[in-house]
Amino acid sequence: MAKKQLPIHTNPGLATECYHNFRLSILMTNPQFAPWYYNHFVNLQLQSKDHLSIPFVGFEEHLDIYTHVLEEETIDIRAYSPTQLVSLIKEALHQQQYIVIYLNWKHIASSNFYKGNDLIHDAIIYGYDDNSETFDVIAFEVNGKAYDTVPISYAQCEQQLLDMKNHHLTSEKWFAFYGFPLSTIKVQAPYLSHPMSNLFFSLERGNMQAGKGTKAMLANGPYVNQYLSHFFSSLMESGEIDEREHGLWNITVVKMIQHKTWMLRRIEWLKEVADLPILQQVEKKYERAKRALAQIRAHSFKYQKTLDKQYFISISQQFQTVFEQERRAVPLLMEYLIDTKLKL
Amino acid sequence: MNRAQLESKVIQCIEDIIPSNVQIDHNTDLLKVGINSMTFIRLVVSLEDAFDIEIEDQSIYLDHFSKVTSICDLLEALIAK
Repeated sequence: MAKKQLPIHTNPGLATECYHNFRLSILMTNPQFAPWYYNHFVNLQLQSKDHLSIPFVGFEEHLDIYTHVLEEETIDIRAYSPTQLVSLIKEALHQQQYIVIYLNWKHIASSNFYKGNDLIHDAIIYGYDDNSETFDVIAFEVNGKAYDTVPISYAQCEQQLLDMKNHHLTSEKWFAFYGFPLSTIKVQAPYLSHPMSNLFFSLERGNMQAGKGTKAMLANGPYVNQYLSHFFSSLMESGEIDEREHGLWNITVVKMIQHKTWMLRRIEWLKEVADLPILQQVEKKYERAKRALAQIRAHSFKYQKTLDKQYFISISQQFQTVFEQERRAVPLLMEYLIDTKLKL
Repeated sequence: MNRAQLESKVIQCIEDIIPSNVQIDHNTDLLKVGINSMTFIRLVVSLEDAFDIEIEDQSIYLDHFSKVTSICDLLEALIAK
């Protein structure tokens, strides 16, 4: 009876951006990729969307950033029987390849969505065990946790792949570039053409301010916080947040906290590269920004419980604090990178 | 802290940032000796640390940091608060 398990990182830290978190679960098992992943995920970006009453915030970078570090290839599930696909997955694992698999989580007993509505979402297969006839999978919203490992039986995978082929192939095709319905992921050799240049130019891009008084807008880097400060201040005068969007609001704040945690982890890594005093100033700014966001989270919950608009004032002020901290941290970090490059 | 002490402390902050061979006095045009759109934020941070203050966002413009005298005017107003 054979089994195989590839290394997997169970807590990369970007759980609010699932497609990034999956790929980081693979890359962060190898410290040689640290220069790559700490050169990415620098800017948050804000995009207003017509159908939402709150602005949408996400990481600036998308899946195209993995081009040089991960080779992803779609498997045509119509060309194989479900049993053949299980064999093919096991074979890929032996070739050091991970698998992206899309499952309907309402059928998975360990899922937080079990017996609910259809929920087609991806997961990563990183191992298998013929004794238990299960795949080792890392997935979202399983075992009552946001992100965890879980065994899924071969039989269940076969059934799910059949369902995917018969019922969801067309309706979910928009996720093809996210790995739908089944893809292999091969880790490439660590690649970084110019160490730190991606980090530097990302910081330089982070000066995009939202236009005032326009519905459709875009902001990048520290100015995301400035926009949100104005947004919550304006809610005091007129407007409110649709209760159906409270979940999205909370995810947005968590995402922004995750971004600050990532920045602090990046600084720890930079200290190993070159520990200049200016880095400590940057660190202080991101720590302060993170504390302000913790306040924003607490006051957001309080507003959602009481609907007392007074909380918008403190949320607005705290976003202004985050903006002011990041507005200082970014040029300091750029100067650190310049001084390191020129060995000043 | 009197004005002369304030100026002296501000000059010290500036000298930590710009090249060491530049002589600074209260009237030096800082934009000609190394303070620019990038380094002035470092000066802002340095002043905030040295004087234990927070410079308000609306005051953070390069022009306010072009001379020791204008920096001292800004700081005096903040310290007075």
